[in-house]
Amino acid sequence: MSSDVVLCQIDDNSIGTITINRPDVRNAYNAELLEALTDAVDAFAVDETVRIIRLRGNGSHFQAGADIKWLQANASLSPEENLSVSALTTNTMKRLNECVKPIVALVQGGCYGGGMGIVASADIVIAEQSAEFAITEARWGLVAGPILPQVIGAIGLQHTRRYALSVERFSADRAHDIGLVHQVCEDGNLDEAAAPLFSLLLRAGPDALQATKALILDVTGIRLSDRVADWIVEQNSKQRQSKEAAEGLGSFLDSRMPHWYPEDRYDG
Amino acid sequence: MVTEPFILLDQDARGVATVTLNRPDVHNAFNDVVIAELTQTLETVAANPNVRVVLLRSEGKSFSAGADLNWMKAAIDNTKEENETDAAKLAELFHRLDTMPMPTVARVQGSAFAGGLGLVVCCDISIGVKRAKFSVTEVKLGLIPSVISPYLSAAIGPSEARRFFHTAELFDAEDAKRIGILHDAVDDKELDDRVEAVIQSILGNAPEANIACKSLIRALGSRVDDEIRMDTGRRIATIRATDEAQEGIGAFFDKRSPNWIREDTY
Amino acid sequence: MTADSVSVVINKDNIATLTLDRTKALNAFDRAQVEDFNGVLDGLKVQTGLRALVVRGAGKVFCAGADVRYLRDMGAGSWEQNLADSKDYAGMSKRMRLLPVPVISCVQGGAYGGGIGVVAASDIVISEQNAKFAVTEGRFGFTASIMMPYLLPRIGIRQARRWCLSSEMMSASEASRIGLVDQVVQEGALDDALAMIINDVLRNGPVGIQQTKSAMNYLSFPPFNDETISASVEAFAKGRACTSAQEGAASFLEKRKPAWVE
Repeated sequence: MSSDVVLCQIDDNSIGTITINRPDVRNAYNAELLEALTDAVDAFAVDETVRIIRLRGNGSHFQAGADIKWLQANASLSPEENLSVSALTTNTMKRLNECVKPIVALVQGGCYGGGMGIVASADIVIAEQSAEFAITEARWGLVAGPILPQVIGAIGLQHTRRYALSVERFSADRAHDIGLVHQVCEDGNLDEAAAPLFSLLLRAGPDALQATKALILDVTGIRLSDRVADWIVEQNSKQRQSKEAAEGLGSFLDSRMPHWYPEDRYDG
Repeated sequence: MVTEPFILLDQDARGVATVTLNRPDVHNAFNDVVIAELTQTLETVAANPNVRVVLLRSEGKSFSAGADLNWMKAAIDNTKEENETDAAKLAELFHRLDTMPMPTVARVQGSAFAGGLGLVVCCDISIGVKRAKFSVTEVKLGLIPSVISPYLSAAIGPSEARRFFHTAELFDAEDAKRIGILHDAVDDKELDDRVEAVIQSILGNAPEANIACKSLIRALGSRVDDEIRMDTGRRIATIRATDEAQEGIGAFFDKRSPNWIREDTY
Repeated sequence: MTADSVSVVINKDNIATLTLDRTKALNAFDRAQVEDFNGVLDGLKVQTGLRALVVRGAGKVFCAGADVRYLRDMGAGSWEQNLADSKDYAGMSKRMRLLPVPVISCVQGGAYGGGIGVVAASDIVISEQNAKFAVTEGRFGFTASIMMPYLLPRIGIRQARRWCLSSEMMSASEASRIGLVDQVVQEGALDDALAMIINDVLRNGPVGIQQTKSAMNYLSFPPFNDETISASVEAFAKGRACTSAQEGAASFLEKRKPAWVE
């Protein structure tokens, strides 16, 4: 069931591990990775030998955003194809967030853009001390719609507003303060830190866990409705095809500041 | 032998009504009688135009341990309808407390578990002691924190709900304050002074203004409606009837591990 | 450009700074100041190339809320006039939310009552560490209402109940803890902190920013829509007209305790 870019494994404790596996590009996502991630989560959701899902990323970074080559390729898609791309990202976040089984995310290094959405969609998050977070989309002239519902669910509207508009990076400790991360551990200690957590989760009735998750999703109103998803997809897709987004991508590829940054502020 | 009433009511000249949960021997656990009496008392207070603040407190070491063990044991043989009725009455209690027209203050002098947490978060301002412990224990028994979930998750937000409802872990007053269950956590000897200071502040506001403000906050900020409340009752009734919940509750009373915990587990 | 109580300047980076400037009233809003504020925001809405709005208050205190006489007079007048004025008052925060650039408030001294409303409707709030915050309306017999569509998404229902019903004073660090304020700095360090945020904002695509703000408004709870704002407007108007409010205003102006305080 696993592809190369997403690895799956089930252990004797009924914990299913999903590992994002593109360490050479900081686990950057493209269509293949998003589809593999969704397939993995969907498969574990119905696998009776899995009670709890562990989600992690190989390499130094959990998930550092969208694959640049994919963004370049997307620039020449038709409007319909672009809608599909936005829908894929939006739907991946939804499937993660609404997975019937609890997901524990273990986070190291950079967690930017889409990575934030993935983390916000988990139920419990443990992060290394040096992990770093940011809602990066606006920096590139994009809009973070596909991850906003989950991020708002995790950290609330206001922190989302602030970090999405400023694109500030924030630390694991700050992420803990605002509710994105539940526990911060020493670098290199994710598994040791997570062990007591898995112990606790395994003491809970398996069906009760699923029923509890469903309960939370319903009473807090964080399930993504089709109406809202459609709005997000259309806004995201339109912005991705804009001149501003092209300039954002171009500035990244050319290693220069984008035109919207005042020239007299450039460093030397 | 005359037993003391489960619920005591007192009112002072300032318009402060004190409602006391009085079952210290069982850590102020509640059963159907307690629920009915507390609901009735709150209804009486709600209708009293001279009441400006309600103080909710309890006797003894713990604030409230949630559902009474004997009541839970008796409920093992309940039909689904009986469970649903019980749940509806508990939901009614939380609704009544949450929607008191005047401000409410909870004095959390000790630990609060499961349903007891519902009482804490349905009050407007909750002041507790640093040594109090808290836990959302239900999943350990194969149950779900259904009836309290709309109130508790509104208080602590989805992220903390996803953590604490799933882990059923014991947490302290510092965490309780951080996530929004308590507004303040103080040393035991400061508790009454702090509660009194909050009450004084509330009394500094016009009663009419507080009633209108509280009503607006709920109108704009609450997600809890009748449908949600009824639904939480249905969910707990459904899950109680499952084999897993029967095993969980049975294991609890047999003082053994439920069969979903492997001996050599993680 | 200057109206009487509100001034605005725009710098070379297209950052606008709006300053509440009625220091003798601690920048409290009266009818004229509301009109001035709305006028400035309307002008900024059509300002080409605008990148951010900074909101400040001149003098010792950011904003002490609304002028008591103004509130009393509106409450004592006809319902129609009360309601119309309430809509204008609510128009300030609505305009801040709809402005397609980040709105950053810098707070020194204090923000009370309606001043909390300005803070809550801002996108980012920096505060000096000795600033104080309080939802003071209830002390004067008024109902905190106009701020509610913005305060609730910021601090949540649990904190809203505590601070609105007690009207207790909170420190900047408590305000930051609950999300009313985004960043706390030492006294005198507002400008440096602001410069860093502005630099971050300037690095972001303007249309991306606009779309982000629009998405946040769309995803807001309570919903950011006419129904929510109307509910807050009506509560505000009713709150000004009721007996408590008239007594609260009278007792304040007569320098005596209100009837509900022993």
